[in-house]
Amino acid sequence: MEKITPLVTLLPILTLLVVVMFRNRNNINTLIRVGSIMLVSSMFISLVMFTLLYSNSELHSLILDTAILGELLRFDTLSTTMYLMVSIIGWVVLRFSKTYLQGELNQASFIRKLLTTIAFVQLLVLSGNLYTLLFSWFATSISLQGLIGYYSNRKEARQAVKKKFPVARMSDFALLIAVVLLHVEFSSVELTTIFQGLKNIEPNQVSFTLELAGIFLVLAAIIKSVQLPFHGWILDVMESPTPVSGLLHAGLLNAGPFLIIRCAHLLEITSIAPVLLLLIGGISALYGTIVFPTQPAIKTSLAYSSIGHMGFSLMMCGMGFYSAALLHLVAHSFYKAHAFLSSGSTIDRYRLNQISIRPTHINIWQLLAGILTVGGLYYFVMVFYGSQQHNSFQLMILGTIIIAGVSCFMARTTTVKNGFSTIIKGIVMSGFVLVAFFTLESTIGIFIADQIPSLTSPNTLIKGISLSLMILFIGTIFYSVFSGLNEREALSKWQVYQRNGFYIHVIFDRFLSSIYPNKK
Amino acid sequence: MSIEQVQESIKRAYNRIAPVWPLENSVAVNPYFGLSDMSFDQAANALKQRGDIKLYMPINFYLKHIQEREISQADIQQALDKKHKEQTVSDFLSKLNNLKDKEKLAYTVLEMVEQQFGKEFSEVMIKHTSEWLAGYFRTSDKKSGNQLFREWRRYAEIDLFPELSGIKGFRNMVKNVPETFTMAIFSGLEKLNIPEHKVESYLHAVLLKLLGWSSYCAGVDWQNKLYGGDTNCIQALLAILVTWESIILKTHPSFHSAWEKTVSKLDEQENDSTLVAQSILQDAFDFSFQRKLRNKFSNQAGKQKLNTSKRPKAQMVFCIDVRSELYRRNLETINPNIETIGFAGFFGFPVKYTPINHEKGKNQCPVLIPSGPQVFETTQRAKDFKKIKQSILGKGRVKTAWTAFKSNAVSSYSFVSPLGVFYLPKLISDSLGWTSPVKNPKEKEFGRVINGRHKLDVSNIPFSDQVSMAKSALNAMGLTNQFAPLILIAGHGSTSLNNPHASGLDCGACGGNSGEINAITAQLILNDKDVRIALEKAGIKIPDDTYFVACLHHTTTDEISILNEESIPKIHLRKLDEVRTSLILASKASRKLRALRLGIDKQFPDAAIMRRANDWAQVRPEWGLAGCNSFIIAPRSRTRGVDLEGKAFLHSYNWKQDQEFSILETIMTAPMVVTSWINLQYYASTVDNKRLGAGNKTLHNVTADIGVLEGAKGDLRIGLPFQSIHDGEDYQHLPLRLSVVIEAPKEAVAEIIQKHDGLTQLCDNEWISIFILNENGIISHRYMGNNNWESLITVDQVKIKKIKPLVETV
Repeated sequence: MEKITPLVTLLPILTLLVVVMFRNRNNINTLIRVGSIMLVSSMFISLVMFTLLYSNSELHSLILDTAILGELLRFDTLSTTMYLMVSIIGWVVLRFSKTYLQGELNQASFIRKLLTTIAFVQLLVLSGNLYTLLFSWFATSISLQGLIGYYSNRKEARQAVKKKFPVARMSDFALLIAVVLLHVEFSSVELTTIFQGLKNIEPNQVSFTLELAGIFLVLAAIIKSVQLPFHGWILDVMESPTPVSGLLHAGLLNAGPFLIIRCAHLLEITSIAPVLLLLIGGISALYGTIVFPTQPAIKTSLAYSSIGHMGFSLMMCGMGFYSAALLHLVAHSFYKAHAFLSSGSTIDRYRLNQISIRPTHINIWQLLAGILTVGGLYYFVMVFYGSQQHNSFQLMILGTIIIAGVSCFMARTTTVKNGFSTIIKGIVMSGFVLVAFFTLESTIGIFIADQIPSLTSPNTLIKGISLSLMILFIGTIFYSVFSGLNEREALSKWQVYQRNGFYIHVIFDRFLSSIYPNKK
Repeated sequence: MSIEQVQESIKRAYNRIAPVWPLENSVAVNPYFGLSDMSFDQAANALKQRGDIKLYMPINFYLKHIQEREISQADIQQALDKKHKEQTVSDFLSKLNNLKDKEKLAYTVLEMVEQQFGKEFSEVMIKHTSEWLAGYFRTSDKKSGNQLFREWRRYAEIDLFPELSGIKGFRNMVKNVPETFTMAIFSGLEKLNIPEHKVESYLHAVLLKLLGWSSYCAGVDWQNKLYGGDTNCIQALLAILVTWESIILKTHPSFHSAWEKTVSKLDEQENDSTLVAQSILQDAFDFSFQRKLRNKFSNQAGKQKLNTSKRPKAQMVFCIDVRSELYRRNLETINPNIETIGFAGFFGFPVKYTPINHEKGKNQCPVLIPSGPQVFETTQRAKDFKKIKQSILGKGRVKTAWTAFKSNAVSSYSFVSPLGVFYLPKLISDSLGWTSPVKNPKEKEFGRVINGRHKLDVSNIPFSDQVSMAKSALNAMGLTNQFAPLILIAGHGSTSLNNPHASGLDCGACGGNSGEINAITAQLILNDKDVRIALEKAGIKIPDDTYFVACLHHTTTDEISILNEESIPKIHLRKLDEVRTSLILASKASRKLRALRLGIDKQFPDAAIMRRANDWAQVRPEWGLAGCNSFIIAPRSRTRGVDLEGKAFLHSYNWKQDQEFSILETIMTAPMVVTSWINLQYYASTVDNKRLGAGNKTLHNVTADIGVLEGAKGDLRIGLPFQSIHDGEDYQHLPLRLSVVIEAPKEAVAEIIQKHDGLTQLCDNEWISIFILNENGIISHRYMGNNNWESLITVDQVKIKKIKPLVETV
């Protein structure tokens, strides 16, 4: 079942790390060329791995002495998917930075830092043992710090670095504890061994050490993925060039959900960690999504939106719906990378929208019609896909949120003022969304099935929290249709607080600076 | 002190702020517009003390140009003479190294608190106000000053941010502020105890603290003034800023005494030796350029062929824009039978264009004048109109619903989960330049009119207006006889992707829009049979075989495209084909020249330049008007063959055909002012990119769909991005004040300058320089202000060139 892949798979990562050590000022073009060749070979390697994985469930790469570090890399459907994704995003961001930062002071140093960061993220997602994971977790954050502080002559950039530093160390520290606890519990550092061990433990035999490991793992993930109240620093990352935001939001933030999906077997048997994840993820998801439409500045708005999307993905993990979490993570990465890199087109978008008509307010009947249509479509598509997974509790929750969102779209197209063509278009597009949803959901479910625990019915507590969150979510959708929730106006007390992100980061910063004095 | 006097001071203070426009149609504005009543040097002093804004380059910049012999000793001597400094050049230069910048003294409470007490409340004020204003202007068209102040008060009474940032009792103190902005300013001034004679400069300094948003409010007021509306936005903002000042003053007892001392020192100090030196160096820098410009003309003098009687094959009207200069030069070299004419790019047709299903329509004319009549997009066949409008409406509805689905609370999750992966192919194809992140808005605005699927409806312009517009346009272009068989009217527009400042690269004369619609309007009206009959009655006979063609000069790629080609009758098409070959060659030649400046080192740069226009990561798609330094108002024959490096505005003008100099008056009061605005915008963005420029493009964060922030927070940024004036190694725009060269009797020019206060200020206070081009094509006089002229022709030159005396004023 297991095979040992040659070390050559590590080559792109190593090359990226070696190349950046050449500090010749004139080698920028070489640097970029080698960088993109390596990233393209990473993509190629991951495609080859996928074909190999077709007949093997996982592949490993060993480093010289197995006794010390064990498996260095681990190729399975989860890690290879992430590897491919990171390589693509890395390549796009590199290409973008090549032109975008032309003429900037020290562009070579920027590219060097960029390539280092990408290499560490690649290492992170491919990690085959606990300490590679821990090391790359730490290394990504440190190299990212160099990117955020790229314009070190700007006070704002220096402040942003300063804000990020303690938060990132908290996350490192939490992961360190989790890693040590796992090491102690299983006396092994190899993920394969640990996963195997975890799979053999019955939920009622979980040791206190494991419970604790689960909690610290969750803490590491939520801090890394800017969940409440650790999100303040992400609002300052715009003090670095756009591609940094692109890479960070699409490639680094999702380290949190990735870590949780990676360690899904642990989460599956512990009892406190998933609840924590569900609560913090759910609240952050709600928070991000309520705050982001009120932000007038595009990048700030995108940052809040990322907080929400990471929360949504972690919330899915909390429910034990790991495949959905991965789908959301991957989808969000591509979406957000594009959103950041194209944030300069905001004015063009505004001009385009002037020619369309303003969103008209819809009435309750249109909304009902929308819900019924989309509900019907959903049922139809579900029956068509009719597999067992589609009756799960988790899918019910996610499906309801999808239906609610699509219904609002449908409702807005429901008018006969312009003939039936808009309605038909609305139905076709809604149908497309639902088909895409089911296709991707079931594909990715089968795809990573052997890396995650199978979907089981969660306990009552999880169910209760999930249901309440779902009600809050769809309540927000429908409420926003009839209210000014998505407006940028701030007249009422609620709206003023909403615009200011409920001051959580301001309070958190004050708290932090009181225990971590901010020397000038 | 009387209320009226204070009110006057308040008014003077806020009038010091120049307007800015939203990025959707950004207009080049002279950021020193409100200071033109001061001399350049006075303004430098005032801006430095009140707002820490620089009006000159650092001394090293000039020294570098002196070392490179760009600035000669004679230039420096000339500058020293002008300032009446009894100093030798070497004395002056040797003292430069010992100059030290004076430290800026606090001018506002916020600055004082920061300097003396180390409290960074400025940042808090800027963050709070900037974010609130972005929200306010984003949401609504309700832009009255009263509302602005009222809503801010309501917000400030709730917002916890100032208090969380250490300003105790902020909300309660806001509650005690008077309810109207006027009263709030007065009560603030009283609390701050500002003596009457310092009110103006103090309030100006306060506005400069939040210069970006102050300018935006001034812009809103400016537009409302043109079209009759409330013009109190900037006063409301002033009230907000003064309220902040008075609140901060109250937060600590020790602030009061410190403030009293600060107020007593508020007088503007003169004799800042650094500023004096910089002013001399800047003058020398300007002189050095003017010397070279004069040489260009004298080298050319005598070579020009004036008024060849042969009928040209075609005439092509370009915008005065500096980018046309390079193209025109190439076109004329390639085909000497094509005559080119320079004219303001709206071609005398200041229309407002409304596409099918557009909410408000766009003004296609300079912002100095209110727009004229509306023109509409309409279908080729009238009976299709309803159906097509319906279908566009329907599409718009679906699009809006989709956008809401994508970007609303929670439903964005329903969007991203199933559809996010579809951004993967888009990400890759955008990255490779195969697609653009969003559709080109111009394509949507007038793509259908240009490609002939729809047409432009000009019938809303009354016939008599059509005739009078046509007549004055032709007169002003100098096109009243000798019409070529084909007359191409070339609007211009730029192509770039993912560029918030894209509209800044479009036509300034069209209000930050590209010129297609104006060119088509001109084409339709000038080809109209009835209009031509009426024109003939008015004395302008357009031959029957003359046809006007609308086209567009793509400034990024230097392509010329014929607009609406299907509508051109066959007989004219044949003539067009001959011209087209020349256009293609001229485009290639222009690109080759343009490539040098873009740093493209290739024998055939065409592909690279095309790619540049379609690259979403490109922060320097083209150089725009960077480098603009002169405006030449003369017949084209004077400049034909002169390499003005794509840095000169060219307006065709023949004073002999201009009775009573009414056309000259129009040129000097409209295009000349516009060009000086553009020039000073570039100047300002170069000398102080931090305060009057938009900063680094890689950090831009579009806010409220109207402007950019640099990074995560701060004031709205105005002016041009650093990338628009600097190529990473060196400046692409050199800070030179506009040199205007006019071929006309100097008495006539002087009379026009004296007649208009705005012009008098511009010229007398050294914001621009005026030169006279004489009969022989030599720059003969410089305007010295106050109706004085300096003769620039040395005796030798007179002998050699045998200058005839200038013709007296008609």
